[in-house]
Amino acid sequence: MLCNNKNHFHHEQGKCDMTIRKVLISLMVCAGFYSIPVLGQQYKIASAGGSITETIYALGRESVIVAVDSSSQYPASVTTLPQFGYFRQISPEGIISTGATHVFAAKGFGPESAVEQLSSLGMNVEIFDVPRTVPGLHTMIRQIGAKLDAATESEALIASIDKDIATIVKKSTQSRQTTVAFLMSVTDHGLRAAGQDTVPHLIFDTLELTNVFAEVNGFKSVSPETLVVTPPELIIIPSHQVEGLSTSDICSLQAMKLYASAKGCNVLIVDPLMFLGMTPRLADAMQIVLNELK
Amino acid sequence: MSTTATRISRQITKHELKQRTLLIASLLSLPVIAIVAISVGPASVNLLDVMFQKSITELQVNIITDIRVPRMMMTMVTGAGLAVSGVILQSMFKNPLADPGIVGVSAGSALFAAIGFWINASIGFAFIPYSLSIPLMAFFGAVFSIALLFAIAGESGQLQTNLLVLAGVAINTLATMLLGIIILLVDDSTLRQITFWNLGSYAGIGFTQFAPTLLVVVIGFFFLWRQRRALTLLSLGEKQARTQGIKTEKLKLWSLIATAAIVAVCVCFTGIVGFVGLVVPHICRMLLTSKLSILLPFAAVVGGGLVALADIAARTINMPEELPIGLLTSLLGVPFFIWLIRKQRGIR
Repeated sequence: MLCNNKNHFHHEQGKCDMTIRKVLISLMVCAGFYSIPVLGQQYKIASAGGSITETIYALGRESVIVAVDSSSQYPASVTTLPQFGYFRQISPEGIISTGATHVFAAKGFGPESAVEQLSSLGMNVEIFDVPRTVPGLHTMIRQIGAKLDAATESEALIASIDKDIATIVKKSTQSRQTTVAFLMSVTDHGLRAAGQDTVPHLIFDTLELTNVFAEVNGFKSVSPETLVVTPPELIIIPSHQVEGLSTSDICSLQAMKLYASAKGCNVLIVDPLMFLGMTPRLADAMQIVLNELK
Repeated sequence: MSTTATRISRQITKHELKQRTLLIASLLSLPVIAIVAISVGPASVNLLDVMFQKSITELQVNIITDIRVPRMMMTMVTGAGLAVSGVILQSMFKNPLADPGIVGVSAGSALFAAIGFWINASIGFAFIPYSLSIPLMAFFGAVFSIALLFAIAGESGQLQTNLLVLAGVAINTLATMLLGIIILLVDDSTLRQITFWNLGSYAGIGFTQFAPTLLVVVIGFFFLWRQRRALTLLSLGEKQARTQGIKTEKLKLWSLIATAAIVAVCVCFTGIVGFVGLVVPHICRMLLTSKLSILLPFAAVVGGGLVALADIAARTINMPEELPIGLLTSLLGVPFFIWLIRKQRGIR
């Protein structure tokens, strides 16, 4: 299931290999897990934020998760756990009802009054920053690892991610001449693109590709004309934004028409969590981009 | 002649009986709704457990006392406050579409709350705790809007109703435009916070938020209640009210301040809870009367009950997830409202 995403995703062998490697690492560290008390406590974690949930899984500590928020969609087994809503708009009682003793959440967990209420009722709330840099990802993994008595596993995971990224970058034949874009939304009302300080930009920058919307900060509405003036070699769109649309449907939208007629319909639909969250699958996302550019 | 008089007298008595029955029935329904609100939720604990079970844990007691009770009370108080504000504004402006939004209070709150989220995401507030920053900003937004309304529409102590409506439209448009600019400037995470705030939510409401809300709503309600006769005369026309000795400008000014204060305190902690201020007054008028002495308490009871019911639904439809309260108030109220309209038209 780890390599089995929706049919319209472009899946390449390289990505699967890396995912399998990470799962194997997770399984290896899992082998010793049940003999390790998690900081001497019985942890039952409500995990809030796809990045946090994926990291706990990648560290082999998934057995401590009792519930997740709706943004936690990977790996597939996570969807069988009880859900307590979206992590930015939680209900304190909803989380308590899951039987969790701890909440591990990404920054943005809220509303603030609900977080305070959870803490006042004795829930241990740990909030982790999810900065959009590779060192930031390292820090998040280390912090979660430290809380789960998985320092060794977190270092192994970080080394694995770094090695994968280094291998991908080394093998890459692309240069700054190659232009790419990530469109957060594509509708007849316009485009919303990823600029600086976003995970897609980090992926492009690490691969030494040029983001045509690099002048924008965050996710912003942009003019479709940019796609005509500086047509990217590849446009990446998260799957949740184009449910029910094929790539040809997308390219026939008003905002994309001119680009498609000039450059062709070079659109790649991807797993949103992999490309929008800071997860241990960062290298997998890079591999997908490179494979598509080949 | 006397037969007709007797018939009219009987009809009046029948109507009064209906009014009393409805008012008493709605009042009696509040404790029932309150008990249900306290008894249901994603955590498996109810009021009876807490009252009679000895083996109950401290956490279960806290769920009732710290989460469900203040939340239930807040829904009732804010629902009552918003409905009463709607009654006053519709009566004062003689406009069936008047609601707390018409004078720009809601839009002002939403704009300042968005500015608050933006500041929190960038430089942060130096002297205000994070959890208080948004309610305070939303409250100031409401106060600022009402001050702006008086500055635009008021001249030499005169407050013309039509100018107030137009000024309200201008403030709404300005606030919406500025909110649009903020939405363009903020990052994705802040954008989502703004969106959720605008959908309204009672998650995280405790006694800290409930106490000031209750205080302002109760004071505001009693002020408006004391002015009910003057407001009734005002709704018949300013000239007529003046000839009856009513200082109409002063009345409008203070009534607007009272309604704005009620709306500001309701909205600042929970975000925008739509529908209640607009439609509950109409429902109450259709069911009972336009007489403010009956309409004000009845709207308070119906508004409180409706929001409490909507919150029960929001918490329990998809447990342990929660739905936005604003959607549920409309979902519960609109079908009933449509039924009432059709009934008034004689359509079955």
